[in-house]
Amino acid sequence: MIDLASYQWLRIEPADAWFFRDGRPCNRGEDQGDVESEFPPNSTTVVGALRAALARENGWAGYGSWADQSTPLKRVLGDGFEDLGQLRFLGPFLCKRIDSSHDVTSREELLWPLPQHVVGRFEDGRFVPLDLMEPSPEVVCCDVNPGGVQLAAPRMSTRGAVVRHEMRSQKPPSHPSDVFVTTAGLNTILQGEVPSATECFLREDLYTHEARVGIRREPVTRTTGGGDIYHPRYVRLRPDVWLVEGVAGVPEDWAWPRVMPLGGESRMAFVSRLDEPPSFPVGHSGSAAVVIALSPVRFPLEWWGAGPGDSASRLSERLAGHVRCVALDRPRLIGGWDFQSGPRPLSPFVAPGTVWWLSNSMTETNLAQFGTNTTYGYGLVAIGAI
Amino acid sequence: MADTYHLSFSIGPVQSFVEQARRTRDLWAGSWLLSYLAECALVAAENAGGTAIIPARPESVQGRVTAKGTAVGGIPNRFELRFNGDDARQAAVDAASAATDAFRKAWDRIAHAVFDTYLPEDVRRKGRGTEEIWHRQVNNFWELSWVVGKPKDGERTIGRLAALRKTFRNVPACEEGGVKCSLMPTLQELSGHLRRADQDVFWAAIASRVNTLDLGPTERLSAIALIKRLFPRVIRKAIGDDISDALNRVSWPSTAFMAAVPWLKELEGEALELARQYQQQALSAGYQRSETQVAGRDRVAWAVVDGPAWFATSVRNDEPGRHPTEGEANDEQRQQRKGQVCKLLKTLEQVYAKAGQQVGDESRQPVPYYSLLLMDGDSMGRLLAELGSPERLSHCLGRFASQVDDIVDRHDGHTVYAGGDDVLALLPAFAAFQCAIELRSAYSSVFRDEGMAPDVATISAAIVCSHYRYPLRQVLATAHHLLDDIAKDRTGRDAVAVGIVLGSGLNAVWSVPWDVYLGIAQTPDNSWCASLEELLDKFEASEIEETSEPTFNTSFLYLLRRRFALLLGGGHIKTGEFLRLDPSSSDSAPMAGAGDLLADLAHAEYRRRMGKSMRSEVTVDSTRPIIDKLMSLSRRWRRQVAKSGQEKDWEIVCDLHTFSFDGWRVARFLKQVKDGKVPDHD
Repeated sequence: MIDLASYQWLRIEPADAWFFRDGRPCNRGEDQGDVESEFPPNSTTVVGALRAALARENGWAGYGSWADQSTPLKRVLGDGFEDLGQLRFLGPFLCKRIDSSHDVTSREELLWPLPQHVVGRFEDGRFVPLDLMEPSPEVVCCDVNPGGVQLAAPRMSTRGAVVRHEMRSQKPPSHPSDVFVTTAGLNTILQGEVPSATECFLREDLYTHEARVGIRREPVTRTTGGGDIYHPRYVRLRPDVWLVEGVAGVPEDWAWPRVMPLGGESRMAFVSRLDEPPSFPVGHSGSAAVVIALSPVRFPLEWWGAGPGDSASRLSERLAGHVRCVALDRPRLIGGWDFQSGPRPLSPFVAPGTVWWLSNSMTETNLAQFGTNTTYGYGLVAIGAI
Repeated sequence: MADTYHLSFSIGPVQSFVEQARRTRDLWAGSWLLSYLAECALVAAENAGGTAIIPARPESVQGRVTAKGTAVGGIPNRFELRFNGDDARQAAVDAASAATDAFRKAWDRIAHAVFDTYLPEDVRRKGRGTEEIWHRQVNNFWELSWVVGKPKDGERTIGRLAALRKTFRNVPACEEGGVKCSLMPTLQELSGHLRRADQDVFWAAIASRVNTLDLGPTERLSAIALIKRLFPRVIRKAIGDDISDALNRVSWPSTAFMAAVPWLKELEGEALELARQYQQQALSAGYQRSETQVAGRDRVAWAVVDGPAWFATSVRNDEPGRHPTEGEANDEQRQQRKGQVCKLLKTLEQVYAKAGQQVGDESRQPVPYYSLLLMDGDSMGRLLAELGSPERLSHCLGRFASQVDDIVDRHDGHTVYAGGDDVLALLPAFAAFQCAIELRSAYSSVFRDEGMAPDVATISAAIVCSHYRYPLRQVLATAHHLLDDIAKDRTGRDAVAVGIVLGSGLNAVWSVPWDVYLGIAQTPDNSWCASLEELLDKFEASEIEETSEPTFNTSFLYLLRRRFALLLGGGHIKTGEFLRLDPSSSDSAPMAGAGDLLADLAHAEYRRRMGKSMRSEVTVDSTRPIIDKLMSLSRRWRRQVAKSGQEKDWEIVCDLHTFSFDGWRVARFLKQVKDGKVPDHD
């Protein structure tokens, strides 16, 4: 059970473009013509930036270890990558202001990666969901189990559409990458229904990448030399889009940062506190039919937690029953940078949007955290009982 | 009881293996290796009793790995076989196991060949855990999956089941620590060290066994990237002694060389002689003898020096001198080097001057742009349904693929991949357009021979004209985006999408159905269109006073853009996007006269530039079509399903409410390329 009210909710906005580079080496003097920017950033990046910003606001000198400099700082903020002290995080989540098409009102909604079982097609620059996949009625003989397993398959209604679309030479409905759905849309999905196209947003509706050329200038001579040119790709959020992060465990008398460096090149972010928690997805308690990952999830054994036929307890010891079927994308590889020991290993996490169908499983909660690294905010899942 | 089952076998990850490329050789090596490994698996399944239906293979090659005979990969990463007999299901499952084993065996042999040659004990000792990193990456990289089943409900293949298997991507994945690979950023580099100085010692030991074009001075690679990079050097050990000569080479034309080919071909007489002398000078100054010529390019077979040496901007940067092989240079050596570079530049300027004399210009330099061409057949499901059998489809695609290399070669290009309905090739910037037209014609011809209507068997293309220095991986990613999202999804297939990538990134995107590109589209509302080639010569840079036919020069185009932006309420338009005259209307029928407003404005400005005397001589009716054709480049075209009751299944529509500057940008750029007058900036 997650107590959302125990978190302070922060709105994090870019001062300009941001830069969250991938793992490619990016050192002066080397070929840097190909440095990518990843978005949304990983939780480790945002957590690191927030801990450092909180430390600076509350007495840290900005260099050396805060844990060595102050016992209260160490108690609250922890020490190093593994020890987060008394802090817990949730996020970062994308958030967008959505204007009503009927009047002048607007609402602010968290956005979630579109669950893997939603299929649809692109029409005039927007994604139109058509159906939800479900465990195939037939078992399929494949390398997962030659004896046969259930795989996620379009429902019969969609199959008809597939045939019709093929005959008209259009692409059959498929699951897209880089589409996000609002909390309202996700609630619809959790009830086993297809969300409206107006609840879905393409990546380019939310942020774009900008290729730039940068030149390093020698501070004294103000000249440049060989190897001083680099070519990063920044990410620029649309004006009505920002990040939301939940932080728990910060003492009430602590000062909060208003501006902090976030990501590569120490590019700046404005931070403000929200008065109320944002709206999170709401499922139904009961016989758990479907589990949807909302943030990356790290499992200790197989990286995908549990596959078809496995016990649901491999996802969480609180779950009974079995996994019928999984709609799973390739793993999300997440690492990070530890100032004490250098680059963190890239580890495979289940990507948000992954769906597990369960059988004979009861649950009482509809938001939970599975797997490890949960204090960083990883492992958030929604459970829908149909 | 006799029964029939199918086996569908898939290999991945295609994208991270093929497209993570910095050099053209990486691209080729990834593509060819994937094709070779796929064929090893396919042959094992054939030998286990299966008959390949995707791709269908003639009897003469069944059970034989043909990839050893050609440098152009052509086996897809998903293949399907049919098994007949009393225990067809079990036979198919056993064949899947045989295919998996054969794939891994072939991969292990290639990996071992690279490991044994370039990572002997003395090199590995300079690393930290190199052997462990190597085995972890080599053993866990490939995603092999398969399904066995029966086609049903009128299906002819089990593509549907293969698609279901893709919904559960339980691929191998390991923790990857340390510093990451320069080419594949999710994998650890092989030295295993965290400190740069320690890494340098390890990579210097490998670099001493190869040349600088095999391993750049700052590159640190993973096992997979090192295999891609170096296996061409050990190809006999890795693949076998029975490979063809075409495969046994380590050089691939660089993007710079590909850009320079049209200019090199123009050189004659004194210019050619001077260019040969310059080449000798460049080789002595440290440029590599690295460009391999192939049949069909005999006229420039003499040009072997590394492509960037033909570009003054590159010579000025002095890349060979930036990474001296023997320690840091002292002041005297640096001065000497500076003098050598000055001499080189002087000679190169003389070559440019002589080349200019040939065409009546002061100077003529190579255009620093090349094209990457990506093509892919449209709506294969529908095509298969129309043809009635996968074997017929495979047969047609095989006939098409066999023509690709010849066509690309005729246009001075290099085919990277030609298999099934897919083509990937590198070409000189302008040549790619005619090449794409010929490939489209060849594609449609093989299906027409089988009785298919022209609008059933269609192929879309993406052509990215890129500066030779722009990262190849991003050029590839752009090409895939243009093909899948722009040409197919947004333009409706049977279309071409063109992207211009300058040094600063993607500058313009223009996409139209092929019939619009060729100027033969018939539209329901009789929108004007003209072939791009026909219009290109109007995009002349020069301004001629008092002429009956003013050109579409820069000042004319920018003035129109400014005025249109004011009218349409938009300032900055993103690459590939359109401004709309009336955002509330999305149908293609023009508002009363409103769609023509832009054309009216352009027409008025065009006539103003004619000068007073000419204006009175040339009628409005004779100049208006010129402007309508120009406007056709700036509007959104798409191919869509025809309304019921139409004679054809498809119709091409032009949205007269839209405007984008990108079509003009593309035309103006191509005119500069065609004339060999694209500036290269330092």
